[in-house]
Amino acid sequence: MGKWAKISVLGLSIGLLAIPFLGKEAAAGLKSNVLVGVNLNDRHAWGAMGAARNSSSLVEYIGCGVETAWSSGLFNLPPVVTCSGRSGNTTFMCTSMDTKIIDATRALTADAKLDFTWSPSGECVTLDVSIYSDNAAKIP
Amino acid sequence: MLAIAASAVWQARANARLERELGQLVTRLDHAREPTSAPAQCVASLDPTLLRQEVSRALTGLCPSSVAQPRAIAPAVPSPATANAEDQSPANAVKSDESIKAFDDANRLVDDALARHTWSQRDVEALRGMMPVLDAQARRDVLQRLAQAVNAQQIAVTGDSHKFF
Repeated sequence: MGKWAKISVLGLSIGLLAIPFLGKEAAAGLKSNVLVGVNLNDRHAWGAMGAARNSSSLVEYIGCGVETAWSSGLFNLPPVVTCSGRSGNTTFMCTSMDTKIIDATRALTADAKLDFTWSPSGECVTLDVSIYSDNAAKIP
Repeated sequence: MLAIAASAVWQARANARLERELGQLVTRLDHAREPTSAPAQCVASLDPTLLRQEVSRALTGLCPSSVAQPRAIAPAVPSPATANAEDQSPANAVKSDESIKAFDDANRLVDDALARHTWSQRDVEALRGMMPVLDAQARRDVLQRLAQAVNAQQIAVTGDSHKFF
């Protein structure tokens, strides 16, 4: 066996030995994939940003946005938050000017999981933002 | 014997009278515990926002210089969100014609969307243009109307996916 052949066999062996360890590393840790869901009767919606983004559905989404308007001479307008999403053919939304709700939306990140409820009038009542390691990360 | 019988009859009558009086006292006590009169119930349905808008419009027309005067009518117990919004707003002021028109236009926008069953990109842009002119309460009212319609699946969002305004 020639010198280069020996090196190739050695490299291949090292590679084969490393495979089980690589596999274990990739599978380690709790993983969740919380797609967008909604219960209109309970006025409750949820979903993880990464899971929604990575979903095979072309319309699924969930999130919140804060709108702050320039204040005119008459009105010092408070910011308005709108949380919304779509699961299948169902679109849902809530809105709020409550400072606690607005503060909670500021905790949203690209990999966060969002869970919110609303009143019959459409006002956001609870907003839960959780950032755990098991949340799926967005794949571009 | 006769005396004993008479005494027994007298005792029975006295007991009966005492029972009647006791019964009357209990009845009076029960009446005293009940509310003197049932609270009046309002059967009319008035939208305080619309009423305020109309009063403001009338006052502005009568006295245009009174635009910054304090609002006379305030909700007795505002919701936290309302209270918060109004705290930030010297919008305790009579609304301008511009804001009243924007409120009317925004409501018409929602009405038209309900009739079409669609919230289009054009609606998104139109409401976005009105938002800075609407005061806090009007913004809240219009957005809640929109949210109710969306959540009842009465209008489909056909514009930019998650922008409602």
